[in-house]
Amino acid sequence: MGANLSKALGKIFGNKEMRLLMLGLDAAGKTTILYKLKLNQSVTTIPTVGFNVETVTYKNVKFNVWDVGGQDKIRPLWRHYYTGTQGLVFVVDSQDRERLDEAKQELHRILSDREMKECLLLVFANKQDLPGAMSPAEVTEKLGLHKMKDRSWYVHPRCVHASHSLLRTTTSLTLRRSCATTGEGLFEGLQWLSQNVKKKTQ
Amino acid sequence: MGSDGGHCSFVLLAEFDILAGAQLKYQFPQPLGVDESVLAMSMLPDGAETQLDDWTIFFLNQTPFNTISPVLALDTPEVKTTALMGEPTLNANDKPDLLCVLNLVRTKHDASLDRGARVLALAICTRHPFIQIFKPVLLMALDDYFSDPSQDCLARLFDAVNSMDLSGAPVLTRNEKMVMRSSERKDIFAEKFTHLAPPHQSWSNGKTALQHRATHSAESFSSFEEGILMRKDKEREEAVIAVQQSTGQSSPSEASFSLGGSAVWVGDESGIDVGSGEGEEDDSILSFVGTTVTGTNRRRRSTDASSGSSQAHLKDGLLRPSMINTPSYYDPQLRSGMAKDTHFYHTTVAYKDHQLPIKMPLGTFPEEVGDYSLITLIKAFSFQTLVSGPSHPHLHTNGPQTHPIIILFNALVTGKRIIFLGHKKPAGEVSSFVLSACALGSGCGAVLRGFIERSFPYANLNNRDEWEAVPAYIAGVTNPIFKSSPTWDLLLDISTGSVTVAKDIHSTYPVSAGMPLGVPGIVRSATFSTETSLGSEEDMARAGGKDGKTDFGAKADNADNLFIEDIKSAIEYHYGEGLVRVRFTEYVLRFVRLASRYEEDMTGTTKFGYPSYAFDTRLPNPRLGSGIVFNDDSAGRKELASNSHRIEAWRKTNSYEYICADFRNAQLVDAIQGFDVAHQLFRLRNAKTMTEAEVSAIMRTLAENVKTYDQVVELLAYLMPHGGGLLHLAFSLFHQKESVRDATVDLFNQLRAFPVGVMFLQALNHFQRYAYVRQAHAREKRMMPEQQQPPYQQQPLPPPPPQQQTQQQSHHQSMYGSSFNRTYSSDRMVTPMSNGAF
Repeated sequence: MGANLSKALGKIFGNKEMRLLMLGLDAAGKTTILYKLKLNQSVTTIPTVGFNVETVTYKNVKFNVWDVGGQDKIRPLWRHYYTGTQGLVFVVDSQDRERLDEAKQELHRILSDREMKECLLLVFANKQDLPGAMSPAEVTEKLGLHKMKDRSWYVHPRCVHASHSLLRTTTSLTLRRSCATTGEGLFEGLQWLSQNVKKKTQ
Repeated sequence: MGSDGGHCSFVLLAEFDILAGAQLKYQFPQPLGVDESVLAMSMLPDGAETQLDDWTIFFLNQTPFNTISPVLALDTPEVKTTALMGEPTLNANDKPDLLCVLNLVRTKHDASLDRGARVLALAICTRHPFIQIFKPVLLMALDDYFSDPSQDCLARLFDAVNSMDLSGAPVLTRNEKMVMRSSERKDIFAEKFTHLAPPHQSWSNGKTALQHRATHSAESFSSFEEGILMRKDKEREEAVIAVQQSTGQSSPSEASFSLGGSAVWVGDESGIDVGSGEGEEDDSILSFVGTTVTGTNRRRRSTDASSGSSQAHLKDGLLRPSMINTPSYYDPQLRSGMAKDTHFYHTTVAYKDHQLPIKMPLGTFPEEVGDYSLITLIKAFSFQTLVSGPSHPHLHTNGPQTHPIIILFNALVTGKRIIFLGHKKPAGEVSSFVLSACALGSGCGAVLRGFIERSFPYANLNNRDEWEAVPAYIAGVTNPIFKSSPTWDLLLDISTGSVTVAKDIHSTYPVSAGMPLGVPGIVRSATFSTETSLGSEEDMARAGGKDGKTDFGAKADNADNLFIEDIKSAIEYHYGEGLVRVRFTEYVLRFVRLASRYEEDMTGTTKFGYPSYAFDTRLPNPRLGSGIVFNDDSAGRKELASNSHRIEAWRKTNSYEYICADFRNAQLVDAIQGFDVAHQLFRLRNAKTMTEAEVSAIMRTLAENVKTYDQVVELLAYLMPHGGGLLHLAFSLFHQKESVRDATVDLFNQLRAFPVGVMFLQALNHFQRYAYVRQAHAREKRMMPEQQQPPYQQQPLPPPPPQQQTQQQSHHQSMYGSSFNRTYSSDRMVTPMSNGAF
């Protein structure tokens, strides 16, 4: 009852709820992004065995962000989270050139699911601070996003402090600076999602 | 009990690989033949990385997806699931045995590792329901694996668990378990441990040993009794026992394995022990003041036994020759390490260099898995205001005032799909809630069956479609995604205590018309006397409901509400889990008896209970009554009506099928045959008026039918100590008719032939005990007037003057009424159910 009422009020006053699903290969930085959004600080993460879910409120929009572990054997579980998802946040490790093709296949598999037909797509090209990281344009191209005509998508370059061992070799100064800048980038991504979801509903 | 090992069928190890994800690494001794991802994901629960240690519990062999098919048939099932009544059901062989998996998952943070942590899970598969005993060895083995990851570690665990020796553990029948569970005495069924005790030559050790033992016996004994009477002293009592333990033998392990000879006795006579005995002298004297039970124990074969003042008796009792013929089962020295509390069997598991103590509970039923806690369950869901969703007559048996625990019980017995959700809670916690719920529904395993087989204490997304297809599943999850996709009928959130009924519950379970009780059309309305109050018709219609949208007559004084209030106050006053379990067993027993009556009223006969008859004197041989008894017929009708929906729904579930089979089986194998014992006991306890003929018939029938050990135990299983034990039977000692008194004495004499019967007799109050001894004595004299009196019967008690007897008689009459009940039970904090217990 209470939930329905607040939803109704939300509609009147422009409050919104949006359910996001954050997926990507293992060690792409999903959990780190989630807690960056939630706490606005970089946390050290360990592999996610199941999932994490947090509520992030940004500009009157309440985002329910689900972050699901990305290891090979637990990817079949992703489909259980599709129903009701309004936005997919796909996180790519920009430095991991070898597995970008694997990421592409996973992305297209997700998007081809009936339940995900209507949902928005936000791609984070993560770990931009690492040496040899692919540029957002390169990631866009290699993921085959240009071929998607019927879907709103958006690529944002960003980096977060991930606990990836490679990242530890970079100086802490670089990390801090890049995190500060990309923290904003994250919320831009959210804003893009909320604006586009508005367009759709209108 | 697999005496030849077989405690552990398999050992599994899973790891969360940082690249691959959840992965089953080892299966020992051989692959189970179950989908590896099913096992791996159950072993590595959602959120495992956020807990340092977590336990999950899940079952195998429930449905096709988790049925094992080992390649080699090494694993021959040695333990068959047995029906409640202690006998295998006819179709037990159709289904493979349920295997319980206890799994420990641990996250070890280590900055030197890639991605900073390692998540490992180690599990053992066992047939025993008391899985909690394996926790220590599992903890050690996982530690072991972290430091030395190899399959040898699994082999070590497998061998260690299987070499655990439970062969000495007494195997109890259903009725023995019932008696044990409801008894708080730590020496109940101590005689079952005697096969582990030293052989009888130790009795010839001389008077010192004897005296020494007797002192201990008496001491510990009285403190046991006192523990029951005065709970405050519990700690002290335990301390005393601990002292005995520590001085009596060196370690539990040694005791349980080296009891073959008199080694323990020799040790007893050493100076240390004598000293400890003296040291306890104060304690013992103190305890004697409060109780007189010691006499009966040691001299229970003599009729003057239980009366009198304690200390003098004790002192001169020590050297009585009669004791020598009566092994003192209760002696903590005699039963040594394996039974400082006979509710448990103590043994050890040797893992590497460690001897891990194992405390195996002896009274566990198959439907009770793990160390569940009803108190935790009740505390977590105790607010009606947190119930949301539509009202459904199967669930809301008292309308909006239905307590969440009753809603849960109703959902369990009516076969609803139930989920316990604990987001960000350890998986072990949700598992425990599921197991507690199974115990709740089954009456702590003692009444109904069929809950564990459809329970998924830790369930996850991986094989969601499969377990969700199991009818009436009971699942525990940590993932809130289940909240939004309702395949469940009832969702209980353990973090918030909220209970949600599915929106579409009415379309899933369309409500049939209510029970047409009180309305023409009832098949067997003869079970109610027709002249009962017509004023209740209105209530009836309201309660019974014409269609799904009635308000079910919500009442604050609903029997269920009173019951829950009772339980809540018992918890508030720190009564233990044991009492709460016994109370729920009673509650479910009563539900079943009520349902049996309902079935009889609706169909003319019942398949799982005795038909309802009142006592009938007209026949040449009076016929005893049977079936459920209502103190008040109109209240009974109301109760039947308000229960009609849940009973109807329950009759379509598997637990109904099971109880019909169990009842049929019990009719064949029960030691007491041919009459409804519970009915007679209820009459004695609760009936407001009872004819002389009925009392006489009941007592005579009991005296005639309760003679063997099995019969005695069966009778005692009905007599829950907190419901008075033998109290109400003992009132018949004061009946005006001599034949009733004699029958009672006969019955008690027959009880006294067995240690467990003696314990129940000891629990009688002084007044009753005195009366019993006096009458038994008198009767003995009457029957054998010529016989030479043994020396300790020198002072026979004078027969009571007749007027005293009649006084007692009038007292007796009033005691049958409810007033006495109340006096008694206010003492115990728990009032009997308004409409009676059985």
